[in-house]
Amino acid sequence: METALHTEVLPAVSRPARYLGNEYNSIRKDWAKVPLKMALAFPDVYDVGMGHLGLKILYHIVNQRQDALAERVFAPWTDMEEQLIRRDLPLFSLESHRPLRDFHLIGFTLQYELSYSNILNMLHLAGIPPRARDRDEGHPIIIAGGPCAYNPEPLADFIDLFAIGEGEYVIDELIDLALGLLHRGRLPREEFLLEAARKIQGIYVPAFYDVEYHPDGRVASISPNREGVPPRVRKQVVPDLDRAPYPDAFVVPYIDAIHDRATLEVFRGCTRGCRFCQAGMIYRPVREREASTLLRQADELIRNTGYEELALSSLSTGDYTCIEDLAADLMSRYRDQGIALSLPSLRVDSFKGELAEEIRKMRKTNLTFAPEAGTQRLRDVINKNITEEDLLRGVEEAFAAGWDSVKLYFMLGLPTETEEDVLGIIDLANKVLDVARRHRQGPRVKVSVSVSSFVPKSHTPFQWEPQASMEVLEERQRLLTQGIKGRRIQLSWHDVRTSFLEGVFARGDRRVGRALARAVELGCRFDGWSEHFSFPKWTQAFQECGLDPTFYANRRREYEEVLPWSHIDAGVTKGFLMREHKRALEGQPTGDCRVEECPGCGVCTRLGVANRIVGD
Amino acid sequence: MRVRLCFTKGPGVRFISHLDLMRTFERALRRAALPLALTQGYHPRPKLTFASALALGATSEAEYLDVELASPVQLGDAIHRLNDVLPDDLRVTAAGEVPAAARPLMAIVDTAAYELRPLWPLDDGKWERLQSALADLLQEKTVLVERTTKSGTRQVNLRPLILRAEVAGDEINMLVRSGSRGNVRPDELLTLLGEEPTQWHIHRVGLFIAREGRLSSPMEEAGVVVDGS
Repeated sequence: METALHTEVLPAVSRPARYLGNEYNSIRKDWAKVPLKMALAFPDVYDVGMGHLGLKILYHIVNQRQDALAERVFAPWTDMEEQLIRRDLPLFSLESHRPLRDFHLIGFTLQYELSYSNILNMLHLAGIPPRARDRDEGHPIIIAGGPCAYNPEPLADFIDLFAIGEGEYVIDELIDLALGLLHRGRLPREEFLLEAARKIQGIYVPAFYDVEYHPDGRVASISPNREGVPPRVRKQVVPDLDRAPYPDAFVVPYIDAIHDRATLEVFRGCTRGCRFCQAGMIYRPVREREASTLLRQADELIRNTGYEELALSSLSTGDYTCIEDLAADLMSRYRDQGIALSLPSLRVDSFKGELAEEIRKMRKTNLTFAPEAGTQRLRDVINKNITEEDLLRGVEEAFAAGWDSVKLYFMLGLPTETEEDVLGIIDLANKVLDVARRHRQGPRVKVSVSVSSFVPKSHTPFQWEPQASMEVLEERQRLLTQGIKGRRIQLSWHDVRTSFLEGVFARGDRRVGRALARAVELGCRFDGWSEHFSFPKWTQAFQECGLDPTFYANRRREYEEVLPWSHIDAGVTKGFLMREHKRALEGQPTGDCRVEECPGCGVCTRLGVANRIVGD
Repeated sequence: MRVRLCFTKGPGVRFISHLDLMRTFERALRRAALPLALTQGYHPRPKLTFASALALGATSEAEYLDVELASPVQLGDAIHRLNDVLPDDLRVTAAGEVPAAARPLMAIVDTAAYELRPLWPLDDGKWERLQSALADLLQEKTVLVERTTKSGTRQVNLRPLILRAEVAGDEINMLVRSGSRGNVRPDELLTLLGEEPTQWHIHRVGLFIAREGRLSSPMEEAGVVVDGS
């Protein structure tokens, strides 16, 4: 394997350093001396997956243990896939270059619905039967977690065990359980799955649940078929991020990967309550890290990685209570070393005062504002509590501070959207351009307008809403192209067909998995990459499986309907989501529970974990 | 203080590109907590210059880079601190201080020595055939190869750039011009000999400055040289 890799395979593929596995801070343990082996799998190419924070956290946790090891594996790029197939080599882990099937546990992270085909393809390339029912004692247990696991059903046929919620503690619980059951190096499959489902919070084993359907295709019921397995699986949360494990070193890629930098997670969760946002619902409550913890972590990471950039990450970094002090502290510490601070995910309304002053000193990288919708009415519907004044004041600060261009992010196809809302996007972009011209001159002055298509997600107030059809979305995209004049506003949008497919999987049931398997047989993978995405193959796959994808994407659900994910408990109650849905249709905003009254989402009381705001 | 480093690139990192290597060194220098001098402006960067890019897949026992430091360091200490934080197959073997006015490495390094070894033992008689093919090639006055760059395709005569090439035992040794004023890539020579370059291991033995009929090492410009081994 090793010889073939170095002499034949690596010289024949692009960016071979993706597959070396010996990057600085990578951990290679003595295979024979460590009883439990886990592979952490990211179903996209190395360049994308290496930027993922969750993977770094789990890699750190497992490898801290003496009795377990974790190695990484990413979706091989198509040229590597071709080499593996031609030379009959199995998909391998990066650190030890061992076949994936030699591991006890393989954990996939589910960040994006369009990476599902890569999961099946990776299992296939590893020589592991993609369907759970075809696997036996000799095969690894296939685990999945991450945000898309909140509707696990489209992957129910392929994944042995889902971990719902945050992974920091559950991964240790699973490894402890596995170590206890390990016999002569083998993990008894059924016993492990049953024990995990019974004893560990957040564990969902799809094989232990039966789904029944109405004749019209709606789900009739989802019920456990084993004793002691919970009828509803409740997510795990980490109560206190200051005590949660966090890596003091990141694997430093050789190649230019995305988000290749030291990252601090300043807080988890967001209570702004944007109604379209799944992350804002499933990561509740808000838990901030103490500034002292963050400063220590920054220090360790910079020292151990040598990175030239430090990013403050969260769902809305400007909401961190001590953001000004923290940003100022970090900048004064690292400026002399040439280390830049970056603040992705800033809301318009936090781009002011001292923070803007701090940002002014930073690199003039992309500055993105996300009004999400073109009119105040629609922003009230989605509970994006940003006014036109907020936005214009935010961009004013930016242009005054020396930026030449800003990016505005919008969604098309939001519930209740009309033509007027679409034209509002153009209007807003023009107003932003006017502000820009008051402050900046020259050919580089530019407003980028990025428009994606709204995809209703599970566990949000819009989970009952139909996704706008591809025809409607295209019509609205046309409206935008026709309405935007001049070259100073640059418009970009997403392919409506990928958004449609994302919508099908986001709210699909178990039967959708059949189409997924068929599409992979037809050659689908890397669906998030436009050069590899083949909509005709997907259409064929759905047809051959007798499934109507619009049933999942474009249909309105009644509140009474048993949704395919109704046995998954994300903490927020159905009552709260219904209230929020009704308020949305009435155009009623809901406040942020950190500063206003509690809207009763149910998370704090039901999970026994409260918002944790530093300084409180 | 301008420090010249000599380093090796081993088999474990032979598939990292020149750009990746530069980034790797920048980060290692920061991990080593050496007092890096930075460029001015919004994107302050350490001041690093490398002698010559090594082909993807090749190994080397003597690559060079100059790094600008903001304050003086003890050279032996710098070598140790760097080797502690470099990926396994990158090793600094020597360091020396060069005058601030010294010309950039890539402007003075003009010669490279390589050893080329086949990955697998060659068939009987193959070495003899290679030897005569090489002899034939060296008889020519012009040996043209096509090079494709961003500005288009052009033909280059390699012959005057090949200083020496010979079969020695079970390897090919070659001494060629290398750098901005003329460059021979080992894979080009292998292709001319009818070989598939990916089936050969290319190892750079040294980079030199041709001066008054002799080859000198870039380290000779440095006053005091500290050996890292």
